[in-house]
Amino acid sequence: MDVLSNLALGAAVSFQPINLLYCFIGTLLGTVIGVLPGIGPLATIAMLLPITFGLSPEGSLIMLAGIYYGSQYGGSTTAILLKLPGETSSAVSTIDGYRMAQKGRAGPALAAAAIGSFFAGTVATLLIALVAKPLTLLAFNFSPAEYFSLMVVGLVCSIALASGSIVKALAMIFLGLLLSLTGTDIYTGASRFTFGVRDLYDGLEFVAIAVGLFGVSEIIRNLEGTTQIKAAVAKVGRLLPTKEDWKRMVAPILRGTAIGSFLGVLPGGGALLSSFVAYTVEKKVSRHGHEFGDGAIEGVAAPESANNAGAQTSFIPMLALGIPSNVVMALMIGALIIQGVVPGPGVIQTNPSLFWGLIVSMWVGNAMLLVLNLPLIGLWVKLLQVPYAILFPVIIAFCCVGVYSVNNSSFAVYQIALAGVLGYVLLKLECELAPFLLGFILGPMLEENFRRAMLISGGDASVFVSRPVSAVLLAVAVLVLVAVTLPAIRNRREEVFVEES
Amino acid sequence: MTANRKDLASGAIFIVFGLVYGYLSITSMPLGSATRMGPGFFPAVLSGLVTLMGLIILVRAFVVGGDTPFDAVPWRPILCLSLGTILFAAFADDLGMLPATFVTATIAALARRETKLWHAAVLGLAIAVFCSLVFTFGLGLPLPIFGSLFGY
Repeated sequence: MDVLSNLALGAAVSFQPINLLYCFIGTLLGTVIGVLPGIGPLATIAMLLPITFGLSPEGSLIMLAGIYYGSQYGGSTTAILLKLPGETSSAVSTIDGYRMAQKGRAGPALAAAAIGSFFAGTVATLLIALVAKPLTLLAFNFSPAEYFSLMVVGLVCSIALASGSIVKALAMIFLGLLLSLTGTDIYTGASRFTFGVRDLYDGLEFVAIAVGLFGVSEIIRNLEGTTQIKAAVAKVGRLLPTKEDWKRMVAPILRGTAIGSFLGVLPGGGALLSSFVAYTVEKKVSRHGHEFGDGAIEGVAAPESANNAGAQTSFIPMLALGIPSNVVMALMIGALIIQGVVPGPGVIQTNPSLFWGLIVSMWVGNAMLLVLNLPLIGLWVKLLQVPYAILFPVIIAFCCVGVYSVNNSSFAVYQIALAGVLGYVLLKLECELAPFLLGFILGPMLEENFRRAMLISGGDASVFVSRPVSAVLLAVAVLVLVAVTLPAIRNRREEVFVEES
Repeated sequence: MTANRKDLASGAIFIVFGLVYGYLSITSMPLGSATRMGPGFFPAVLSGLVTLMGLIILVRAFVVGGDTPFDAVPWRPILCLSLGTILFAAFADDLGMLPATFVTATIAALARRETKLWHAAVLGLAIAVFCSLVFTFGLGLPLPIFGSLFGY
């Protein structure tokens, strides 16, 4: 069996004591920082990125992946105990999770999240192992036209996920694409939008922009009022779910895993979409549907399984195609490039131990989370009580140091301030930032593939619709775009986001 | 009916970006041909799209209306956080890790109105010591604890 021998290779890499240690440190640090209210996986990874620079490529990616699920899981803990989602993908877990906590059943809610996540992680890991190789083979047949169309699908999907105005989301995508072109044009060497600033020849620094947009602007928003963010942490109580809980958890976990595994693969999707859809579906199909919103364990188990499965399978497009499907994956790609590995379908051939090592260590990381989280819950509760007044200066300092360390240059640090203010203004004007950032990530790749496709076709733009795969992808993009503008779906979409807030 | 001010403002921002970047792409970069696209082609198209979306948002501000008032601008957090970050960028190389993180964290801490100066300074010092120990000492980040200004 091909898959088995590959997994064996992966196991050999990830069970090396040093890599186990990196995985452990990653999940631990990820959880520690992810638990802190108001810090999502993106900020966590950006802050901890410099820690991984000195490691081997395998070690650094394993540790980053560990940080990613650790922070994801830490966010769920915060959501359940504090009703403060550290990240958008655990927003739905606050609904029933916090209700359960108020009723003194925080323990079973946390256990349901942990067990569901672990199961979903295991299934998703197997899925990645199965589909990654065929997908990379498919990717080798992709021409620039297909890559272009695939990225268009990803960008359009990010609109479907944004709340609020579709025109504004589109405008944000185009603006992100436009700003990403700052710097030297790779084909002609012409400098673009550099305003004569030498440091801008290399373009804007992605990590700085991400940290500014999502970290600093969020802090400004939290500090708007005089309202003290005083943490009212719920008591955990008895941890283990009752027999009744176990029975009620099984089906939602299975459904959540299936939904998350599928939706995570979609470009622009990932954990957020997965958890929303899983919650909505579960509410419809569950026999206990009427209890939703009032502390139903299904309302925690399903979205938590789904967001973990989605978080995991969103690695598929990155590993197989080299295309980041979301912002976190873009950071991972950044880390790979720093390590000297060019992401894309070639990695599986040129660097099988990295590829399979990462996949197996995903499972190891999930197992560690399960072992780490439930017994250490008391510690996480303590962390939750760190006042925000102490927290945000730490975040700012870490962000500055982290961004500085990406290129050992202070120029990128200026960009944090700029992105922070711009992000805050746009946020207040009800413009979503996620589509902007996805555009910013995909911009250079989108342009490169567009120009290459046009070069190959001799200037004939019909190449995008005459190649079948590309045509299908573009058709999907158009369908999604039409669908989100239809009134019926638009209302549904707003409903989903109203529940969030 | 009054125009929606949030839509007006965001529409205007997009239009300004679109026009400035569009002007730059057309005037300072060759557009090239369809086969061999110049560096200006893709940015010019994108600038056009940004402007177009800005215009739609602007028109909609008048048509749909539904004015929502602006909240008061939180100048203090905006200024403190930006200033803290900018000072780090400006002086990290000269000052070194410890003084730079101290200045940044202290000023950032003052973004919260209720925080007293000496509280901020103590917190800043703690963060600076932590960052120096973890990043410079522990992880070997090539930013010395004290920079060139101190003769190192």
